[in-house]
Amino acid sequence: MSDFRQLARDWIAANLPASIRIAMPEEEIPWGGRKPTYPNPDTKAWLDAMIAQGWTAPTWPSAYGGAGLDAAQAMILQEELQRAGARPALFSFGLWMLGPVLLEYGTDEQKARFLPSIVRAETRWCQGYSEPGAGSDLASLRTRAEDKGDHWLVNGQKIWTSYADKADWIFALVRTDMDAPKHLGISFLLIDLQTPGVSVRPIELISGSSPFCETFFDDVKVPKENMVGPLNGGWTIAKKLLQYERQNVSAVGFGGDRSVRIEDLAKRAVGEVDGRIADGALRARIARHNLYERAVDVTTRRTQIAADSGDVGVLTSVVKYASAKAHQARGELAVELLGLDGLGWSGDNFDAGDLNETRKWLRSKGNSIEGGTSEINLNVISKRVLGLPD
Amino acid sequence: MTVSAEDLQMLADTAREWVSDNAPARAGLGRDPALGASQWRGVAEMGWAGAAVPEETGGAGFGFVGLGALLGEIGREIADIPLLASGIAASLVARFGSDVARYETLPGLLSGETQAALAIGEGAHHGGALSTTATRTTGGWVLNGRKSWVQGAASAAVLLVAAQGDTPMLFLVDAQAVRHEAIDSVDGRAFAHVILDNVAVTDDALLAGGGDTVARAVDLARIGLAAEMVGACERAIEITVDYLKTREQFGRKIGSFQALQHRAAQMLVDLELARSSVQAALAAADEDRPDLEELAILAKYMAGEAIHLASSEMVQLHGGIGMTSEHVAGNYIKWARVSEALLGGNAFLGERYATIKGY
Ligand SMILES: Cc1cc2nc3c(=O)[nH]c(=O)nc-3n(C[C@H](O)[C@H](O)[C@H](O)COP(=O)(O)OP(=O)(O)OC[C@H]3O[C@@H](n4cnc5c(N)ncnc54)[C@H](O)[C@@H]3O)c2cc1C
Repeated sequence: MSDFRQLARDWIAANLPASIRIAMPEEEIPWGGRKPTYPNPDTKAWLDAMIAQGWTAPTWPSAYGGAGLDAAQAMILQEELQRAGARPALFSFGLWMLGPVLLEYGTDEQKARFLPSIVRAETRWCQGYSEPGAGSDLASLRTRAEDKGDHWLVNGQKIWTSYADKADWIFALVRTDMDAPKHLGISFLLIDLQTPGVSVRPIELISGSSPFCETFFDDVKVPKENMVGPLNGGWTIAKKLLQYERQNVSAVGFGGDRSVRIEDLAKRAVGEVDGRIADGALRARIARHNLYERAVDVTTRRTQIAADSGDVGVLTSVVKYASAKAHQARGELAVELLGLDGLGWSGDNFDAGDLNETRKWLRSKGNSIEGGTSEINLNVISKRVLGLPD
Repeated sequence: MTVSAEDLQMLADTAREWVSDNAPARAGLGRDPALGASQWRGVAEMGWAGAAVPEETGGAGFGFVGLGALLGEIGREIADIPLLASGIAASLVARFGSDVARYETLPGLLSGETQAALAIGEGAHHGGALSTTATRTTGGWVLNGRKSWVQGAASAAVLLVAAQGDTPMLFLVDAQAVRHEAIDSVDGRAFAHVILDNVAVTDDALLAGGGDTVARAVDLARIGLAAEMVGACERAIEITVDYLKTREQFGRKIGSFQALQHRAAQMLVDLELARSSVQAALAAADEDRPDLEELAILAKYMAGEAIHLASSEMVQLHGGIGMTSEHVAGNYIKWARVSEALLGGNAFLGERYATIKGY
């Protein structure tokens, strides 16, 4: 076994609290930020230990709080964490989306200012992309930032901003040239949500939680140095960030929680004969589902390896599409297997785990919408990979 | 052992050129002419048969990853080139063969002097116990039974035969000692049933490693076949997409219709999932991982799903021309269904996966 694997394994064994192994209730998700909530103190202990190792962002340079691991080591670390059943130490749009693009497009000052606080879970970011009139057709966005000499003046509205009510900062796409063709007049701006003029209103999801918000900007003053990349050059960054987002859609936070095995739900539903699911037809469906899910897993790994060597290719659209399909199929199977037990909303009449399955099923419906819909991803594949004509 | 990505790419590029020059996919009914003995020697001289055999034992040392890359290129042209059987046989003999087998049989397999066939399957669905028996005699074994759908049996000099003794066992058998019953299969590949009628072999014919050797042969054959299937699927999609880019109806390229674009994209998604699965399985074979069977099943299963979709869509999206024997689509769909059924179809593989996983 490689030295690094041994080191990682030993360290995890010594530092992972028993209560932080897999199965993570939604309220215990460690999002960090200025006003963090850690109902289980072990969550915080695990996070602090991982931060001290630089392992919340293992491949980022140590100068910014990462561990400077190479792709192979990062893969080993991830495998060992998985092996130990460790919960992710930190959930963070900063880690998954903003950080990688800052590393590539940010100035040295921007990196030094923003990256360490992401690694250390001090700043919670949200994503200001979608607008009421700009969803799939993101480039038609209209929130605008005017150059006022010493600052940008931002006016407009974002929608579907997940967790804007809990976040500290937002990375937003804004229009900085009203006359240019739509892709060419967009810039990428970092905005502190405590700035006067920003207001946020939560919207409820069908799963009952309210991560969505409408975010309004009313004469919001943003310092000049908060623009990432060149003026009117934000679209390239926006697309790169979307690729990172798609890559991360298979992460636990996007509905991929598999702490309950679907085959165990099936055994509960129809019983066992000699340790096997009693109903052969059902067993066949579940095996087929599990094989598909596993194929998505190996493809996700393949994509990560490619990404770690700097090639965030079009496989991300493949993974995004296929993992949404897998998560949703899993959710449908779970609800079907649980029958009416899986269709409760709240209360002591239902098992907490079953209620969680119900919510996961509903939440998974968003997987084929968030970060680019499945239809848009199929468009990307057919046009950009297969080169089909307009 | 690790082969660099560049070396693999070079190997694949050379193979693509050779296969499309020497055994291109063709349309029409009937059998492809068998690859001549001299052509097979040409293949072997490029080191293909020994791709997965370590350099220390005379091979090219490319590992199963390398052999898989070659099989993918053969699959692209749905070519009836017996590399799968000979390549896997060579690797098994190099690793598990007796001294005699390694000195007498292996060199011929590597040089192309001899071809091998894998007589490991039985029955239409490959399920259940081995019905071929191996009975102990003094200094050897007597084999009785019937192996089905052996690819390249007629041109092979040696067969790897799976038979049931005290445990499942794998034997090297001289092709002269068995009878063939040629099969006229839908895809025109050269298959035969092989009948073993009191075939006597010496102890030297036994590949060491007990039941694991048979299991390993089946795993490797599934993975190799899956690699061919991914190649065929890739090519089927290419041909179809090319057609979508050129065929015009209603005054526009049919490939500009989103309904068709999305179907094409879905084929690509399945292809990439299958490709990742095959790559994972090939790597597991090289690393000798304990979960090889799971990954072999995953590879063959996903390759089956991908090629099933791609070959069906290939016919549909070509419209009428896809139904004619003048077009190559029919040959891909036939080749696909035979490959899907060989060594266990997807219903069988799913059931086996559930068994391994304990549900
Ligand atoms: C759970 C969740 C979290 C999200 N979090 C955020 C966030 O944090 N920040 C943020 O900015 N946004 C967020 N979003 C918004 C998300 O990015 C958008 O919902 C998404 O891009 C789709 O836009 P839309 O909702 O306006 O749908 P529309 O674009 O109006 O699409 C409606 C339907 O039409 C289809 N369609 C549209 N155009 C085409 C086309 N060209 N070809 C084929 N079909 C097409 C779509 O696929 C969809 O089925 C989130 C969404 C969800 C569900």
